[in-house]
Amino acid sequence: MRSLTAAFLRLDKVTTLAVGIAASVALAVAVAAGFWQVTTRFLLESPATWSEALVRLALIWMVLLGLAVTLRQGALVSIDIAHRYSTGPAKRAIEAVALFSTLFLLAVLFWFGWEMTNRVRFQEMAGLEISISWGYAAIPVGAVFAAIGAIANFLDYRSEELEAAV
Amino acid sequence: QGKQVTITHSSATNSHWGVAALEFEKVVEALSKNKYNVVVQRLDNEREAVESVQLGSQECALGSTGPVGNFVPDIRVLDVPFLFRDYAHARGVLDSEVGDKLLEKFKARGMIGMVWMENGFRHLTTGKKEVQSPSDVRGMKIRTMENQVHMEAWKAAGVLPTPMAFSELPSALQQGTVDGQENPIPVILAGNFDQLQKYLYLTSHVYSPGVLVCGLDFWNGLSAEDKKIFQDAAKASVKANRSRVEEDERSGVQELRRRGMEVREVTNREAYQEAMKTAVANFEKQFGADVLKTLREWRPK
Amino acid sequence: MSGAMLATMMVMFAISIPIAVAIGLAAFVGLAGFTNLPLTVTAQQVFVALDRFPLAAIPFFILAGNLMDIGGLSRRLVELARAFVGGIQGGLAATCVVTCMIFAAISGSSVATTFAVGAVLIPALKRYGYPIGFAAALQATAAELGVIIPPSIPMILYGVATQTSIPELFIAGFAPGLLIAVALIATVLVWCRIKGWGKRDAEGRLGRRVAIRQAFWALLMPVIVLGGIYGGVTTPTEASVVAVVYALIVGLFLHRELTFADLLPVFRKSVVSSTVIMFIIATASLFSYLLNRQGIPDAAAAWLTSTFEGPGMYMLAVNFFLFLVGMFIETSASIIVLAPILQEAAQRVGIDPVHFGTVMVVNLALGMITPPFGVNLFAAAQVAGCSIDKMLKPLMIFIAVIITCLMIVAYVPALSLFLRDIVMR
Ligand code: NA
Ligand code: NA
Repeated sequence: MRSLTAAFLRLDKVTTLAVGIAASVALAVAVAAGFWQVTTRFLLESPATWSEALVRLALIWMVLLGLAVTLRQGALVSIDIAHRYSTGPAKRAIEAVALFSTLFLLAVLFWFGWEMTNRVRFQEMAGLEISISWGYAAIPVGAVFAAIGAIANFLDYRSEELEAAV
Repeated sequence: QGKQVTITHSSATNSHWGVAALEFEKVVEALSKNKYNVVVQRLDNEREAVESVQLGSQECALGSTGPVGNFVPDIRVLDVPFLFRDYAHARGVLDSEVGDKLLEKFKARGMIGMVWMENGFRHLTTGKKEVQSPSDVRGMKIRTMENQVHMEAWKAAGVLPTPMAFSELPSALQQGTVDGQENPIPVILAGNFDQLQKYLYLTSHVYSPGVLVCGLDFWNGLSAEDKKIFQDAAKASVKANRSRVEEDERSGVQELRRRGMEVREVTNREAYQEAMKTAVANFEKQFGADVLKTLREWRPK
Repeated sequence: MSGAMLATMMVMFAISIPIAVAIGLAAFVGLAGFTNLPLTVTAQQVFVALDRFPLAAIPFFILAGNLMDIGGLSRRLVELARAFVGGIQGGLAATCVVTCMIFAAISGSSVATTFAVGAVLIPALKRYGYPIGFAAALQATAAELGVIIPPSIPMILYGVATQTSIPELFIAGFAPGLLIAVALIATVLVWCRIKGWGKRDAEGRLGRRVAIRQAFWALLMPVIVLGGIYGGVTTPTEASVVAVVYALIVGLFLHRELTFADLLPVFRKSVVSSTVIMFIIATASLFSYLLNRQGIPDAAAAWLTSTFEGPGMYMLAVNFFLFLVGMFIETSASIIVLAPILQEAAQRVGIDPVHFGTVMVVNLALGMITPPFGVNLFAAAQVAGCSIDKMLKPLMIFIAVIITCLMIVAYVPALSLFLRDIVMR
């Protein structure tokens, strides 16, 4: 059991690190595309037609990939009175319920996100002229990594909602 | 209570889309003797509306064809500028078998194209700088829809087409982030663009069609008798839509003038057509020269 | 069904389930249990909620705030505000409000203001001995100014939804914004006297001249961002990108406090903060989609407009209604759905549309700090590393202050309209 836990945490370390970098890159892409939009319109006087759509696409990926990192750090906000004032097994039970709720929601998002990704594949994304499935795919993909992050946080608990002071 | 049928549109209740949806509701409920309970709802995001019809989370939607080209690419041919001379021409083509053939294409995407509606002819507006001839628009930043055909045509005329979300347009016009925009009269009027733009030019450069779509699964579940009811309601809905567009166009121009907008008649539409000519070659390649010719030269039989 | 959704959500809130998860699951229960809508709607609404360009202002302003923090811009701005208003007991708390005012003139979003200002001021307040819950609650409240003082994303949405002049709405927001700022400053100064907080606030302040010189590049930021918007270079959303790039340049090359090695951690941190907010927006979108499908906001608004006649009663009823709405529904969504209905009736009873818009924005801005669903609360909790329940007690007083201001704004139309009448009419 312990070695299984350790193995899972090792897996999480790799995936969550990679996904965190990918989400950061998505944010950087959004910034670059947004700045390109301002520059091309104002300085070069030839407005880009794809930049706005790229910003939206990049940010969808940023949020869904960022979810893994957020869950791993326990950073999603909650009204955590019950958790803070409970101890021992009760505290652990609350954490378990929160984990199962989160996993259930992620399963829903994975399942129906996957179905949507398939169903909308013939729809084009205006501005980028690619299938909108490239946007919808962020939901099932993000849900998988988010589930790893959520489980890892249960096994190795952190609540940076409280500790992430700036 | 009858079976619920939800239809959405993207505008105020008292608009060319709102009245069309209400007419649809009225006729379906009357003809079916309340077997169906039509619920009209406003949904600003037209892309979401069409997608929802496809998914079956709502039965029908009506609105501009703006986002529909991303679902059914064949209808983009209708976006070519200076394709239609006037309303009679545009409506004639859409109501003929040419239009029916295009509506047939919706089926492959899980939808039924019920009838063609309209947003009306689009006209150009600008802020500070007045445009006296097409050469004056060269170098101006004009907000367009995120529509490849529109953007290509404006680019040919030397404009810097600037696609932008409609919700961002008012502040962009206010601050001069873009120099102008183009939309049908009902939209200009409802958006109070007279406060943001000084000049309106009746360019009628492109006709903006609309469409009423319903979900294929919903449709296949109807009896032949009920299908007829929905078809009749759709026809009544188009009538309400078109007569409101006409009314808005007539009284709207006057109203915009009254509110202080400088309205410029454009007697020489050919000059604009000429300015966009280089794009036309591309459109002929893309859509077929013969197809465009048929549409342009269409006459009622 | 709405009852079941609400109950599910409350139970999940109570057992410390993350807010975004609770809202999403409650909505899923409503969707699966009480409708025959296809369940794919879950994924569709998440996508639709995030696929909006104006939303980009949230991660961009958060990133800009973090870059300003590490690049030393925020610290200098705070020092500047302290140099001018920080000399008395409670001066640091007052500085927080003043800095939020300066930021409000840059950003159109309250969440962004919370991140940008809170990143510096919350730790500073903590250092000077203020309780963390007070600091976070104050920050969340003062950041409301972000949408009341122009530019303002909700005002733009209101203008578009109701065909009201956006420039007029912007101008009408100035005086109410000032009123709220003054009221908040007065409150915190009295509060600090009573509690004995902030006695050392005057210590270690810079001289005014030094503070101005140090803050030169940081002070240029509002000029560039606002100049970009009002000079027609950028839209309010794009202004947030300019803020990021400007903060990068100043931090990396002018202050040289930001290094390239800092970039990945800063981006990662901004991703997490943005995700916390945007994932709530995503799951809340399914929730409000279901409420809308049932026609609940429409029906409530219709009932309001048919029941209350006369501007006085109507104003009171609308404010009460919006207060309730603001507790649960995100500001932009409420405006898009409710503004057209409520404004039409307001005009019928003789309320000026611009005045009504101001009241509506001030009220829904209040919704950003009312639990359970308040984006500013989430943002402030995130920055402060403080749980929301610690913020609740001080929050009650701030909410009371804002309600008082709201009533003044609602019943003294001239406050909103006199500037407009001078400038625009
Ligand atoms: Na602002
Ligand atoms: Na709230």
